[in-house]
Amino acid sequence: MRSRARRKTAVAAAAVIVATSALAACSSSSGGGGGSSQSSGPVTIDVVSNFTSDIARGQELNDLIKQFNAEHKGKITVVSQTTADWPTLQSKIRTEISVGGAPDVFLYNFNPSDLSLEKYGSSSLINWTKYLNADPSWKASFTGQDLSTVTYNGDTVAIPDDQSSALIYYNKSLFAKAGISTFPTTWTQFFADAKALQAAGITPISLYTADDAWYAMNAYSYLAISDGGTGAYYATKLQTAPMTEAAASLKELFSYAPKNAVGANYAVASASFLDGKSAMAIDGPWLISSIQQDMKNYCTDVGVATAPTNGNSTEQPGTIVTDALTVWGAAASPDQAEQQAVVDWMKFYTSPDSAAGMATTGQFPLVVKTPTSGPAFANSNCLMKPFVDLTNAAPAKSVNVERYMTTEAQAQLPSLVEGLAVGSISPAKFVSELQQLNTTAP
Amino acid sequence: MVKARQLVVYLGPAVVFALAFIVFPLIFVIVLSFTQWAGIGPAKYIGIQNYTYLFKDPAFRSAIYNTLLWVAAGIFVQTPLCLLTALIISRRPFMWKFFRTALFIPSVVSTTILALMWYFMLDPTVGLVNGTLNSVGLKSLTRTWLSDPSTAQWAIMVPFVIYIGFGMVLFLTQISTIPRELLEAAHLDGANVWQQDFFITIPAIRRAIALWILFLVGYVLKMFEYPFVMTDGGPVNVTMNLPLYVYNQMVTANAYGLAMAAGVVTVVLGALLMLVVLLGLRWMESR
Repeated sequence: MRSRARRKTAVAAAAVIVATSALAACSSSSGGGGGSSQSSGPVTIDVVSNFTSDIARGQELNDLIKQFNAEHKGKITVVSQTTADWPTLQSKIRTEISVGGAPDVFLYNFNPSDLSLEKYGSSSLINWTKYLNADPSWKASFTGQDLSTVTYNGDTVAIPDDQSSALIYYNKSLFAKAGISTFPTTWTQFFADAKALQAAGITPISLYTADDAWYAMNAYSYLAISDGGTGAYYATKLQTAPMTEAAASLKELFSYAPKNAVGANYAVASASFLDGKSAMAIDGPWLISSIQQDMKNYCTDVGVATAPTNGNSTEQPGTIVTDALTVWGAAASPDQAEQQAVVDWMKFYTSPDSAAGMATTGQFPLVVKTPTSGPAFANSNCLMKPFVDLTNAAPAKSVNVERYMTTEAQAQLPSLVEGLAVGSISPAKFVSELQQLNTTAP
Repeated sequence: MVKARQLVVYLGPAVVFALAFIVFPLIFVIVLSFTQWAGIGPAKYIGIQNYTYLFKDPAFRSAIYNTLLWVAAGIFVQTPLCLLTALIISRRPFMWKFFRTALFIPSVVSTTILALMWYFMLDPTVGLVNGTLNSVGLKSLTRTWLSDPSTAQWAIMVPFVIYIGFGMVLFLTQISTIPRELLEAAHLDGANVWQQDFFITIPAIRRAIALWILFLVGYVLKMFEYPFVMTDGGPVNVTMNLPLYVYNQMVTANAYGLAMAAGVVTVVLGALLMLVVLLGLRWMESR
């Protein structure tokens, strides 16, 4: 009796092990890898991004995909897979690459301070060098600096997508209510105007501290380069005099921000500008579609400008702070047809026509050179053309200081900015903490 | 006498699932907590560096302090409120069914929605709280509740403490099992309402109270929504708690080793808290 029970126990245990192994095998057989194709069917490419269909760039991406699929009917099918939340998307991509299943094509943040994805994922990612070299006109559509940035160990590990400028949107009618007729060109005038706006009962500028504190860090970057030029900071040099002076100015700027700026996130801060409660916001081109939706008479009421300067020769007027370079990575595939399909899609997506479509209808200028003289811009949004023109005319660009930080330091950024805003840490301490976090976290 | 076959059939699935989804992942977490890993590539063994970093990190110290503060608020504020309400409703006052239902409803609403609702109620410009204070002439009491380091922690605790429905129902259920003869006999012996509550009802439901506190500790150790939605752990980390710290390290900082170390500390802290509750219960039983 007992031996029969033991035998049954052993059989049951074996069944559990077999079932578990089968499940494990199922899970390991799925995953990405340079598109998928059946012997006679079309190659299917999943394009993974945060371009959801409820925003302009998502709609434009879907239109481009539709056009591409029609042109490659029966051969290639591109499918958009989206995750709205950027950190979640980035985490998901890393996990998939980590377990050997890189998505076919995916959008990610290229962080020069954290090249772990490029380092450990390069064996499973497409090296674009030979495809770019084989098509000089395609290669020429990117700047040498951008291609050099995405080169790791001699391999071009990604295709640059965008490096959005952060410009100052300002509400002309609120400025007029405070008796201001033109946008300030110096920081001294800027703070005087902020005071005038506040005296008129208007919140001068939207800022926030949660998540990546993007608005505040844009302001901080502009303030730093106005004191120290575009060399005011870089990856290993955050503790500088211009950075400390800029931190003091940022603290002052918070006194002109909405009451809920400390702790607020992007949605709250941008809504404050869109609702006409605050007079300025430093944001990327994607704000234009929201302005279009939410603000009446936006063509006459809203202006776009580059940041003021200190009025000396340290910084050239019109210098622009940009976001990090966002790039497209793609899974390498042993099947040449699949890999070629991915290359074809990327060439189509970064072509001048597609770039013009993304900039105008998608309200999301790509990093490829996009002249605004073409027909696409003739009927484009009244804010997009000046936005792209200001970007094209910029004498110099500087990446937002936050994008020079390690991900560990970025995670601590909200608490540091909040500490500065509420006065619990001094500007000097703020900068020294930034420097320390950027170099010592495990 | 339980037969071996029964043991295998009854316990087998639970043991397999516990091993697969609790024990092995926990071992993985412990191993990773001694490494530096960005979520990709090989993990580098760094000994106890993650743990030494954690205890030097003000954000982590704040997270531990706040987690304990939430446990204390649950035990010493929310639990007495649950108990008091259950004692009142068990006497079936006017409209007691309505109040029982009304108080229980928030327990079935998503915590994320409650947190969002309170986020807007506490908004400094359009929020109901400041609006009410302004309208009754108490403008001097208005605050930027969630942005002010001196008020943010208490502000995000409010919805947690005042939603007492689940604990109340648990206590009511237990109170309903007390024989009415006991209370009637006490009444005949001259015991007033307070004496009946303190010497009969509360001792009779002490196991339910202990169970509730176990639930509460477990909930607080997992609780993520209130600080995440209402303050994102700020300002200056004053509302940071352990789950949010783990999330930030893993998702925002890609510091998986550090996140795992924080997770291990959370597990140890949870086990210690559970042990304290169980020892407290044993002590109460022995009296």
